[in-house]
Amino acid sequence: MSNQGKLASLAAPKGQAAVRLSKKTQELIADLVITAVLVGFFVLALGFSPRAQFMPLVISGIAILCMALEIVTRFVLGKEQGLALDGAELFGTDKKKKEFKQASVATAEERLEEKNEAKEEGGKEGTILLWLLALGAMLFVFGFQLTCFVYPVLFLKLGKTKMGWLPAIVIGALTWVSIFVLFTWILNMPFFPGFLFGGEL
Amino acid sequence: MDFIGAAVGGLAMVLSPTALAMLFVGVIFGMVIGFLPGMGGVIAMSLLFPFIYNMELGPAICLLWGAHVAVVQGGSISAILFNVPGTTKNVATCFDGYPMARKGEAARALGASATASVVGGIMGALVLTFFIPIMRAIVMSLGAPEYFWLAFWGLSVIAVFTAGSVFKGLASAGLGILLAFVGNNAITGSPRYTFGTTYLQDGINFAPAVIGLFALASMIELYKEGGTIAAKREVSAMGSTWQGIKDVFIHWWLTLRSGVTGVVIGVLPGVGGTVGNILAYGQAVQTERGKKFGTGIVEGVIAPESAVSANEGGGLVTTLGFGIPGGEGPAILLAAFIIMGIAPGPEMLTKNLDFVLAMVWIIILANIIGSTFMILGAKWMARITVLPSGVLIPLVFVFCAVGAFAMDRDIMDVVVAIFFAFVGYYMKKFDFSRADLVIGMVMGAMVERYYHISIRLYSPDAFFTRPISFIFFLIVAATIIFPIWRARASKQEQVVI
Repeated sequence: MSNQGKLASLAAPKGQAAVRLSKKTQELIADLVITAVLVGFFVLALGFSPRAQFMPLVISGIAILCMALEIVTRFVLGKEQGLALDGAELFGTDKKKKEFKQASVATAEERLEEKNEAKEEGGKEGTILLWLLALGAMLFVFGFQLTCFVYPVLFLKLGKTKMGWLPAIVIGALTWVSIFVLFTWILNMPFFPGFLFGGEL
Repeated sequence: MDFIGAAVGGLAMVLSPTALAMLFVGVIFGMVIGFLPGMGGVIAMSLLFPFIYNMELGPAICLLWGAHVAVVQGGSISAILFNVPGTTKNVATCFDGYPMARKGEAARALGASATASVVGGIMGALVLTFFIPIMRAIVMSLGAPEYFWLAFWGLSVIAVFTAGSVFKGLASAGLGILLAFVGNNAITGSPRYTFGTTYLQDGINFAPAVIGLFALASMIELYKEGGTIAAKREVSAMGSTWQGIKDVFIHWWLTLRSGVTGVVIGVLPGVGGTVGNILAYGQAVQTERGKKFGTGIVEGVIAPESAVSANEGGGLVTTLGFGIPGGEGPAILLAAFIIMGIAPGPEMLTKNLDFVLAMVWIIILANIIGSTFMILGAKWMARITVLPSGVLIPLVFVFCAVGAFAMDRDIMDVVVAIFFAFVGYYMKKFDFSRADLVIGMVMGAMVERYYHISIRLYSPDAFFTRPISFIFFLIVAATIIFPIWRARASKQEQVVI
């Protein structure tokens, strides 16, 4: 392995660690959210009658303890060695400092690439979650009959497939027909008509 | 009435042209209903119920029970292809069935599922035939403390699902149990965690929650990853189907064990196929050494499918033998018997033995017919997994929303499904076990109910002083300790499901 390669391989963990750290922060937030939810269950259980509160208090208490142990062992006692290592300190000489700087540039590029990937992934995540929320909103407002046709058409046309209008409409119509045949015609199921068409909760 | 004569009489009742035609109709209808998310056997039977009024006994029962038996087979198809458990009884089939589809082995999974269903169904039917007389004594000897340990046994399966962080696994299960407590308390009648809403008074509807946790969450992941469900573009169809069929016989011991689990759970009134499905998967994880469950291995499909089909026969033991329905499906069947002038109970074994054995034949034939459809159709069904995600996702979203709504025809169930889609997606992302959450939701209310009944009717030490209860306690302890000990000894790899 060349000196440059060695340096790059030594420096690489720093870049990866930076990404890992960010993921770890996300994990910490997720753990804290779950803990908060469990605490909510515990606090609400305090207001129940003695017989009704017994099991919820025991279960939520144990679950909170588990989450506390998880957070302590992973985020308080957990060790991330190497995060604080400084390349220049490690390699000492000016020449090696220069070599490390070059390797760090490569790592920075890698980091940028990883950052872009994470950004792209986050964008996709946000997009699909919005699409899912849009489905719920459309069902409430327009009801099933209209949404079962319009939603697939919009998704296919405006989503990542960017399908043409005609095939999108054909697929949307087929979806609507299959739902109509199965649920309305065969199963005789009344659908929620949507608030726009007189639907009520 | 002699046994052989009754068996022949029962078969003749089922093989009459009208009855056989109704059986085909029932099986096809049941498979379609099962395939649709959120629609279970109870809905299938309820929808067919009005048609039986003018029918003779044989065709009527063929139609109703054939549909009920086939529903779980239809449910396993959507569980494998889209991670959508068609019925709640197919939850555990998702754990390895869908990962198999993602590996391009959908046809193999469908073949294994179909064959395991036939074997499990036949096992359940045989138990129904030969064990009704002795099951009465067994079931009557079980009280609330035994049911408490049985429910706790279900919860202890968490120990085998918990890969990665044990604390996260336990917290997930705890959260599931707490979600099961939402609604009016069955013992005190007081509302818990309802926030003053009427919708939550009946608790969180399980079917939309499972649709969100698994189906919608997996579609979110699929969108992020892009491509198709199957990793391989070429899905070798028929060859894989035969491989799936062979797998069931290669793993014959697992198939039989899981079938026994399904039968035992089925015999116990009020426990249900969902528990059997999960427990069978759990015992497979515990006993099949060196296998990476949750990554798409065929044993993870065989065990729950064998159990859930065997469960149907077990469920009929109490329905036919004692007049106590083993679940909602058998309860509708019981109503059908009464309409047709047949009084279920011990007398059925003497006066209507041919009819009891006709039910056995229906289970066997319905499983064979349903599985044949599955095996022959696997080739085409597997092709769905190579559809582009951009096309598949909106269709699955829409069908899941319709399925979530269909169960109780309540728009709020769609909100529940979407909420649990977020929960399921982020749980998967941050390594919280969704399987543990589901087990908690299934078992939580049962544990609490039998705990309070036991305390009220027996003394607190009844959990350990009653002989059967103590045996169940030992089984629970072994279930918790054994996998932890073995995992430490062998460092068995597993993934968070």
